[in-house]
Amino acid sequence: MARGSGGSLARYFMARLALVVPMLLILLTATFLLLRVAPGDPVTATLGDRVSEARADAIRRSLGLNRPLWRQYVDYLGRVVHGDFGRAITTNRPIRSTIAERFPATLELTLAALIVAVIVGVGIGALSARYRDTTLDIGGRIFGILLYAAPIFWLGIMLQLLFAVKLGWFPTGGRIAPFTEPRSITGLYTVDALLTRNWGSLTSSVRYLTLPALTLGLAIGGIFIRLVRVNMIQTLKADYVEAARARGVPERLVLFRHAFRNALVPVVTIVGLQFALLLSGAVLTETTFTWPGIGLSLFQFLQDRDYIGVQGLVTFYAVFVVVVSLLIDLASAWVDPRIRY
Amino acid sequence: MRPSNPSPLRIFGVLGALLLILTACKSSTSTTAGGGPAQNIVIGTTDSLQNSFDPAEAYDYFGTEVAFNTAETLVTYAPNATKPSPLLAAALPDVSADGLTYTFQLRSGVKFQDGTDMDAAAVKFSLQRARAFGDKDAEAAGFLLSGIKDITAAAPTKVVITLSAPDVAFLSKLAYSVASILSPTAYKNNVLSGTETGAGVVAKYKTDTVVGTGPYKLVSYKEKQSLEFQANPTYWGTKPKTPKILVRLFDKSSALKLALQNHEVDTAFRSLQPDELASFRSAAGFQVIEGQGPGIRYIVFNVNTPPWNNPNMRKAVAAALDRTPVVNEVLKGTGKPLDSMIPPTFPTHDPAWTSLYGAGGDITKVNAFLTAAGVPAGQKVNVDFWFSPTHYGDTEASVAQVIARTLEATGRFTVKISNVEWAEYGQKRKAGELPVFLMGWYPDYLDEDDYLAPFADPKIFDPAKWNDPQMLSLVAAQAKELDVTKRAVIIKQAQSYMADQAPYVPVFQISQFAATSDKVSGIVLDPIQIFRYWLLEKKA
Repeated sequence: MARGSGGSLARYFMARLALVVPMLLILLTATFLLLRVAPGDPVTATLGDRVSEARADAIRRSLGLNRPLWRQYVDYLGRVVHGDFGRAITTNRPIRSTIAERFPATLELTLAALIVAVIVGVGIGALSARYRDTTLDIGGRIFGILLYAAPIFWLGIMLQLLFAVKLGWFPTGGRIAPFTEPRSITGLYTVDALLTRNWGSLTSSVRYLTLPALTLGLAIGGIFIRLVRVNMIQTLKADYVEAARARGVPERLVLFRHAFRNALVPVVTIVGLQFALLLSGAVLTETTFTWPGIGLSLFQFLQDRDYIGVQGLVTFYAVFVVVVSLLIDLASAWVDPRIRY
Repeated sequence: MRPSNPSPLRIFGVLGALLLILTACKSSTSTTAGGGPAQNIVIGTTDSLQNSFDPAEAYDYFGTEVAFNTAETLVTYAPNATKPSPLLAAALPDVSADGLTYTFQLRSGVKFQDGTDMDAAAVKFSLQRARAFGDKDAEAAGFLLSGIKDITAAAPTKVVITLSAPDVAFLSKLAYSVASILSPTAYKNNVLSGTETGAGVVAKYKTDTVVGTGPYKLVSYKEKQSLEFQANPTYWGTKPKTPKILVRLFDKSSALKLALQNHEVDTAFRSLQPDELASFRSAAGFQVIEGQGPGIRYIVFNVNTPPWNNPNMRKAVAAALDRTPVVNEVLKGTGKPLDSMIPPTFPTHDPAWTSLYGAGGDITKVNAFLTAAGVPAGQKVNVDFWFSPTHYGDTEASVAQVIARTLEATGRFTVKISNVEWAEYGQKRKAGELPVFLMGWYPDYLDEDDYLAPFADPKIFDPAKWNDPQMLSLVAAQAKELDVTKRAVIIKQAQSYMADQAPYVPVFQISQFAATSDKVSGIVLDPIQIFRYWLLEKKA
């Protein structure tokens, strides 16, 4: 029995891994082609009037843009396999350096947002379910729908105007107060500040992180509220919950020990799947709050019409999301024996 | 009976308490702008680095700003001066009678930020290096030094520079960041051997830092985020007043405005929009500093495209244009009407366009020029007018619309406005596909030559495709005339000739503005466009 289950899991792993290859290939091909069908060649579109034809030609050659399209495609795939995402035209730096410099900021923001989303989503969702059809439930549902419907940038601007401009409680943008950066260990300022016991940096980084994390977290939290509520309501109707109540188990224990834990199982899977949504939301959040992550970098490359820069970051995003999705699927399959091919 | 459960009211109470704790962070962590020691300064800007801050390459405002604060030149401009004064040179040079040889005595005891001595060999190394890049890279600022024929380090503190032809603007060029004197030790691997081409040339620039003798050291550069400067502890001159300066780069002026409003930056320089700037004029705790700017905006005619190949047609537009509404309605006082391609910054400025065409909207003159051009009375002329929507800021569309309105107000023009983004705009301009269009000019060095040569010489710029032999000879004559009075006469002649032919119509001069906390002092905005960090000071 155990052997059979192990073999099934291995098959699932292999099948899931095999699916990654065509998925990545489709993503990379789409990214490559989309930027090639944009009007003008990347160098002229980026640098326009600023460069002579001679220099533009030199840049084209150095980027391999003078080669046939199929050759560029093969080169591009080859580079991606080696973790090389190209060299941005506007910065003349490898995209890899940009990613290394900015990814920690995006990771810190998305993790903080995920925490906000889980606290808000699970908290309000569970309360709505527990107090179903009360004013609290109706309020929670409306709140969840509003969060889900509100565009992230609008939510960000509203929080910015209220808490930063009007009340002055938080900064309008940036990642940490000037001249207070902690010594870099992980690149995550809050973590580095804790590790180096730099309390000034910790306070500052938390202040700067609060509004962007709330914006992104609330936007995702709207989805969680509805999901947790529905799951919780279904679970509260389950036979084993009724049985527990019949046995005289205190309601608090019924709620938290029996219903809540079981209701969270599908939510955990959804949390993982929301990671891609978090990353796309991070582009808008980072732009609104001048948060120096990869999302802001992508916006800057788009603004500068640096197609090579855009291609590099979109490729990184694509690979990252596919890999994270794969890991989540594999982890889910490992803990949940029902997930098999 | 069900056990007691938390009531909704109690839950709201807990949530409220959490919110209070969160917001309480504000009072405990509130910092001064900058968050660090009070005397440090944070500057916010929407500028970005076009290429690198290697002085041999930097040709954009921001790149040169970094170079000016970290490296120094032989001569410079004191605040608000229009003539150079010595900096790393001990005195202004001895210039030979034929204007070909410049002999400089250098200051002694000056060291680069890496400890290397600043001497004649370093001067020779730096200028030759920049000139070599100019020879190989058309976009590098090094081309400004192409007139140098030879450099000799005659003694440790004596340098002799020989030019291939007299150039009255040479000292102005030496005051530009391209002529920064750099540490030969730090740049020994960033010199062209002569065999490099294309990307090989670009790869030789030193793009990570600047090692000069300047009052500040660049200690950190985060791409499109920030630059941090520290006062140079071994600086030979008057020590900078601010220990650390952080320059934060913003993508949008609206974000910069919010940051200044919220005291997250101390000074916003380049560029808030006119409306945003206006909000700080009367706001408590802020001040707006204004300075004369060297930048100009103008209308260009492609003189090869009918009907604009007829000078009288161009003159009619020059007579119809009313600059005042553009300045008042769109720029809201952040610019001044301009009546010559050489702005009033220079004593040689001649209001040639208003002399010939009036102050604007002169219908009698418009009709006269159109009649001379062969346009029947009462017939309207179509103007295909172009602009680029973002390159010159968010006000550009309004500038174009108001210009069009003033032309149409004469009853003799029908203006069709079109726009394309900057990259395509440049392509169309070069291809001659823009008959009438808006452009702007920021000089490289502070001399009248830089307002004449680029508009006459197709080898430099000449967006009107004018290429007029008489204008070219006037430009060449003023460039080699060493007598100041005689040169001024030629410069005025050039302005009059340009106005008479009207391939360009000046519209307005751009003023410089900085919005700043009133705790910050020492901001000098003068036409030379050096934002001098070393003069800035912030009161606690």
